[in-house]
Amino acid sequence: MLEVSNLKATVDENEILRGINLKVSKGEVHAIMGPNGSGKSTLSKVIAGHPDYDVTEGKVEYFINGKMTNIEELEADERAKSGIFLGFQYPVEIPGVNNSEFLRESFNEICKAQGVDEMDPYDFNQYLKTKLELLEIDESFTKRPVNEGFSGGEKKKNEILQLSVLNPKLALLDETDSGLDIDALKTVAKGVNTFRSNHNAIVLVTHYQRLLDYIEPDFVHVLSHGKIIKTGDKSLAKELEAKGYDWVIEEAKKEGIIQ
Amino acid sequence: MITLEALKADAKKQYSKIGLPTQKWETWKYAPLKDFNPDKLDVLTDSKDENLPELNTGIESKIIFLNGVAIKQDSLPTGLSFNKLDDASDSSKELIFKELLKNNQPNPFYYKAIDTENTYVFEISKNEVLTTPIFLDFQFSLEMKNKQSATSLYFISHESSESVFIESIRGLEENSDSFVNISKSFLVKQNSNLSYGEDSRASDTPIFNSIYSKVKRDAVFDHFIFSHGGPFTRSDVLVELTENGAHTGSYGLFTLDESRKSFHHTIIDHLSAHTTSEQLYKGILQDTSHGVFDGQVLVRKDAQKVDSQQLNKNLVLGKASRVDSKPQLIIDADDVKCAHGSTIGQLEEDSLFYLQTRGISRTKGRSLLARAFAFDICEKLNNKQYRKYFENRLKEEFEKRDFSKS
Repeated sequence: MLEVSNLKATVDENEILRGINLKVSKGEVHAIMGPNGSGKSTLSKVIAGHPDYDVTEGKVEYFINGKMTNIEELEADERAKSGIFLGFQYPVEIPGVNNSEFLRESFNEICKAQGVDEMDPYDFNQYLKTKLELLEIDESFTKRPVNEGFSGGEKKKNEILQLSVLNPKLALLDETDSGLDIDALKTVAKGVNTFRSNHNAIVLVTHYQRLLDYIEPDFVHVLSHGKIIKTGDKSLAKELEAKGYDWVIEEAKKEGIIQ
Repeated sequence: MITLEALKADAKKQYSKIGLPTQKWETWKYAPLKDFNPDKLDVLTDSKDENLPELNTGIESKIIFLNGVAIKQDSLPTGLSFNKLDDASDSSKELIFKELLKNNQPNPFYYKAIDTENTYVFEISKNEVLTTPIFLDFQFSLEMKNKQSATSLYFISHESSESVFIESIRGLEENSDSFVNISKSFLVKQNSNLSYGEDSRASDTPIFNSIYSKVKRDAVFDHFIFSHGGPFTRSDVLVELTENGAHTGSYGLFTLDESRKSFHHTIIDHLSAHTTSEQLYKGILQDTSHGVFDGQVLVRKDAQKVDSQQLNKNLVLGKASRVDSKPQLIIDADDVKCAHGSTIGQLEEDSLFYLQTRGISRTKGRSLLARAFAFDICEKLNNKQYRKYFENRLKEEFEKRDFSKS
């Protein structure tokens, strides 16, 4: 579904990604962990198409219309329309735009692009209701302006609500767990686990192993110095939690993966 | 006997004292008249043109003005009387003379508009609550070429009455050598409530709008201007809160593109204690457009316990757009609460990217964010139909506008 090969990317001429290789197939959950400043967030933003990042080498291929396609030329919204979703570390507040109208607008834009009928407000609200119930979110939530005045936890829940409404093929969740209390974390995990299926894939960018107690990954990657320096299964996350990142970085240096 | 002639004579006297504004005037430095001299354009007095097709506003009560002259009225409510000045009652004329003759208006064209035949008086009777707005449909035809139109409206809102007026200006395409001047004076008597909305529909003609309002005990005067068309729009608002409990709300939205200019000058004068005011002006600017908010709040000596808020927010989309924002407070009392502020910003790249990742293109995103920036101004409009009218108008204009250009 997604194949990242030797991806190098810069922002303001600083190289952040220095040759990333990552292959994600349908039905898989990948966790990307790493110390601060390792390039985790950048990777998800580059895949989603943030205009501030320049891809200088390598490519991102994604499964569109029956074949793997280089998506370099696609704008972020075109990527979203072909099923890539980015859950933000810091969701943006949009005062003046009602949450449910925003969701419907977004949902219908994606439907339109995929050749599916748009939903009218009534049908959409019915559909939205099922999602709200699932995530145990109060309906009043949807009447408020997008993320404005939301607590940190509410903003993250809103990201997961969007995820479940838009039902993408590839979900990139950028530190969706950071700063959450345990109840909010459980809600977020529940949303992600309900979304998880054999038809989609999830890339979790996270700083903390705790999330992975609730969302079990198939692969855990360690990202440091702009490269994936180690890949393992979920036991790697436990090991990282216990021992930190230094030993993996040392190992990678010895092997010459990074300098 | 008080007559139109007497009123005109007074206006003439005032105007000759002040004269044409120059750029040296503090309140005219952003808006130079340059070679444009309204004094050289004849006032259009007699109009033969047909009126324009009716607008579908959903508002029944209306008065049609063609080139500044009232030609037709429809379904006016019983609590409202509408007359030419000479036909108004003696008591109303006296009130106008006693209360609404005002020296040193900030916009001298206020007097030019009075010095015309087109002077009308609106009176809302005591205790009458007019729940639906009165639509003032100002239509202009091609006869306006090289002419100016001047209209002066007086409003007397009697004790405990309530009313809403919406003024719309339309039909001025290809009329750049003309000039529209509408001045309004309001006497908002004790415990009454009057709202006045201005909607200048797309046009090619300079528009000068002045408002002078005197607000009495426990009365409310609200004003809203939606300025989006026209090469040059100037709006002057002078509100005097003369007795305890008086309140005024002054709101504006200018959404400008191309080389349009829209200038908003307000003076809110707190002459009495326990008076309150709120101002919110928002601007969205594209291309080489230019917007100005120049707002003064005066709190006079002994006008204690005044509460005044003033805010101007601007969204500058164009690299060559310009906005001047000048919020001012002049306070001579010591126990007051006054807040003022001004912001000038651009669309946030982060917000646009966020919308993009939700499938909303940059073009759509810009328009969505611009709309979101502007739309909450409608929440300030208290009457339901009044608010609906402007919500629809904003929607209509925003759909036409191309926000992808900078």
